[in-house]
Formats: sequence, C-alpha cells, structure tokens
Amino acid sequence: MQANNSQSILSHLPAEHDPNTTDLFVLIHCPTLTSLPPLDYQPLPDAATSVLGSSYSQISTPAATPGSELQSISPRIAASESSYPKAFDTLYQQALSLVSHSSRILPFTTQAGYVQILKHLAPQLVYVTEELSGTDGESVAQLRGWVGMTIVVAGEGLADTETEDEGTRERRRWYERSSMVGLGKEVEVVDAARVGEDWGKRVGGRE
Amino acid sequence: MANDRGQRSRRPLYAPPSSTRQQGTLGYWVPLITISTIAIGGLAAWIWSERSDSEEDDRPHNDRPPRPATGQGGAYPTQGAQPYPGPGPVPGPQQNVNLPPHEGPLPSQSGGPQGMPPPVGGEAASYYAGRSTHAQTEQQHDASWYGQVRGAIRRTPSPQQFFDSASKQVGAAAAAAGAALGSIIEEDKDPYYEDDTRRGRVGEGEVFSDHERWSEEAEEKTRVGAVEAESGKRADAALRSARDGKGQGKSKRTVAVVVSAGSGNESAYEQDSTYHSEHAVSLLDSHSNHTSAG
Repeated sequence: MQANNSQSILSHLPAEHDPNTTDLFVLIHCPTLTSLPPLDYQPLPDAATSVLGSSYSQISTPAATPGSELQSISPRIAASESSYPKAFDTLYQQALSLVSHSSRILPFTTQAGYVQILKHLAPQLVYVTEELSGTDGESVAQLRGWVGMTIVVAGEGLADTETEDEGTRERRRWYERSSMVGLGKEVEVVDAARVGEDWGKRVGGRE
Repeated sequence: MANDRGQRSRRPLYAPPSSTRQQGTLGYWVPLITISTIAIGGLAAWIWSERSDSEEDDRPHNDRPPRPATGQGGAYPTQGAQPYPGPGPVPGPQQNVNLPPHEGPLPSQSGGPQGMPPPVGGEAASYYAGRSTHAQTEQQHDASWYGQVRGAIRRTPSPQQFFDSASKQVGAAAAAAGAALGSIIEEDKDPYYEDDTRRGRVGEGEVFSDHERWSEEAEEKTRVGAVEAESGKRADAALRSARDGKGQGKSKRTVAVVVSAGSGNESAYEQDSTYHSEHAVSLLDSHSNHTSAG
C-alpha cells in the first residue's frame, strides 16, 4: 500500500517532459538502502518473488517496462535483484522512466537527507511528498532560499488506512497553518491527485 | 700431783685439754663462721663488684673508673679523682640497689647536685671523654655473665610487651585468616563471580550489543553518509553536465521530485508481500498505457 501511495506521486507525473528544458531529478527515500545502486541498475518489476525470477524477468523486461528511452540499453544485473527493497525497486523503475539518465536518481536514507542534496542541486521546482516534509515542515523550511519553489504533495496517504488517521491529520496540519505556505509563497500544497495538472502547468510551461 | 700427772699422762698428749675443748668447739665454729662469712662476703663483694661494674655506666659519677693519669686536668692529677668522691662510693651502691637497673644516662645530669663538683676547666673534656669510653666498655661488660642475664631479662618481654606482641600476632593471624577466608570465599564465590561476570558479560553483552547496535548505527550513519555522499556526487556530476549543457543554449529547469519508498518496516513489509508490488506493477502498466495513450 505504501508502494502504491509512494508510487502515485511519480505515476501522476506525466512522462512526457522536454528533457531539453527540464532536468529532472528523482530523490528516493529508502531507509534500508545499504549502498547506492549502480548506474546501470535495472530493477525488476516483479522479480525476486519467484524462484525463476532472473530468467523470467529477462523475458518479461520489455513488456513490463513502460515506454522509456533507457530501458532497453542497460543489461540486467541478476545478482542485485534482492539487494534492494521492493518499494525502492518500484520507485526506481518508475524514476528511470522519467529521468534522462539513471544518475539523476538520487537515493537517500534519512528523512531529511534530501535537503542537502536539494541544496546542492538548487532546483527551481521541488515536489516533495508530504511524509518527507518533516515535523511541522521543518525539512521544507530548510529548503527555503535554496530552491525556487517547493510543492508539497499532500493527500498521498489519504487512502492509507493502515496508519492512524489522527497522526496523519496531525502531521498534515502543519502546512495548513504554516506561514510559508500559500499562493505566491515559496511553498505550495498540491493534492496528489492533481500533481499531474500541476506538473503540466509548471513543467510543461503552461503556467 | 702424781694423780694430776697421771691424769695428765693418761690423757693423751695430743688431746687438747678439756678446758680447751670448749675453746676447741669455739675454735671449730668461729673459724668456720669466719671463713664462711668471708667467703660469703667475698662472693657478695664479687657479685657486687660485677654488678657495680655494670651499673657504673648508668651512674658513672658514683664510682668512676680512674681517669687517665695524664689528663688535661694536669693541675689536679690525683685530686680530681680521690678527694672528691664525696658521698660517692657509699651512697652510690645503695642508690643503685633502689633504682631500677637501667637508668640510662639521665642520672648523670644529676651528678652535680649529688655532690660531685662540676668538672672544672679542662677536666670537663676528659670527663666526657671518660664517659664516652665507658659507653664503649658497656658493650664489653654486656658480654659478661651479668650482662647476659640482664640482657636476657631485658629481652624477655614484659607483660605489656607480650600482650602487645601477642595482640599483634593475633591481629596478624586474624588478618591472615581473614585474607585466607576472603580468598576461600572468593574461591567459593568464583562460580558466582563467574556467573556474575557471565551475567555481567551478558549485561556487558547487552551493553556490548548496545555498543554494537550503536556501532551498527554508526556504520549505518556512515553508510547513510556514503549513500548520500554518492547521491551528492551523482547530483554534482549531473549538475555539471547540466551546466555544460546550459552553456550551450537555453537554460534548463531543474526539477526535483522527492519520493519515499517508505520506512524500514513498511519496506520490509513490502518485501514480504508480493501483492502490493504486483498491484503497483499493474498500476504502473495502466498508467503507462494511459500516458502513452494520452
């Protein structure tokens, strides 16, 4: 379920964006990550679930991967299938379909680990999932001045019935009362279902 | 007269007269008593001399040995010793009897009030020199019988000393026994102790595991740092390439998307279950179809 919710932010993003005008980085938070995946890492969509994973995935790779410019190039590393969590694999694969190169996928392991990377990247636009915004949005607040615009993708965990709703509401409340959130300010809140529209407006140049 | 003669003649010539028999008994006892008295006196004198010999070091002013004749007090070669014994020889021994045998050199300080005139002039040097020689002779006298006896007596511990030494020994014995007991107890406690240490080791193990946990955390931190450093490196490389591309023409817009693969538990849960990932794949497929269609 978590994979679905996390996936949604990437899956809501339209795949078509002009790589000439937009440099897309995908930062994936994965606490259990022990090492960075190699640049030619190809996560298997449903591998490691069966004993015949490697052979099966080799066959099914072209069908499972969505239309992307990178999928057919890099060979598969069969040994690295089980070294990464499923959710990370799924996100990684989704990110591979979006970014121009696999080096644009930047995993991090701590909740606020992306802040330093974003400060380094200094992007004009940042989409941050709500669950990584930190307590009372302090991680987002740390990005102020370093990034152009921060969009907190909210509502991802709405369908998540596993976590207690109280905590979710408590956590969600920070941008409802925060002074840095608002129209024309540095931080905006977008519902996860409308990320695609927002993306089309901002990235697609239809602002 | 003849009778007298006859009696006289009857009487053996060598036999003493009857009147002299009493004198004979007298002559028998008197010499015996006299001789024995003399002998006893001599013995007593010898003993006394021995005693006073050893005592004179304690009280050198009472019966001092003759000073060296050619002392510095040449003006009084003999007078210094002889006309000034004062009450010396007679009360000296009596005092010696009453006094404890070992008085030390302290009574010599009272030599003046006891009648000895303070040494005058150059006499003092020889006086004290004589004292020092007496101190030397004391050890020689110690070798004598009385000295040995006195030494033995002196070496015999007094009750207080005996008690002290006994208590010391008892204390030492108690200490030794305590130490031995302690060692025994320790030996007895050894299994417990080992148990304790083992338990402590378990506790230590917990601590150590804590430490290990901590080090694992530290490792994870470094690993995390490694991951993020690698990410940063990649970002740097990508940024550089983007700048290089930026130099060519129009500026690119950098967009970052931060997503989460969930926390460790959730990811582990995800690792366990295959349903969600399959579901995700199906979503992904539909989405890709949708996007490709759209």
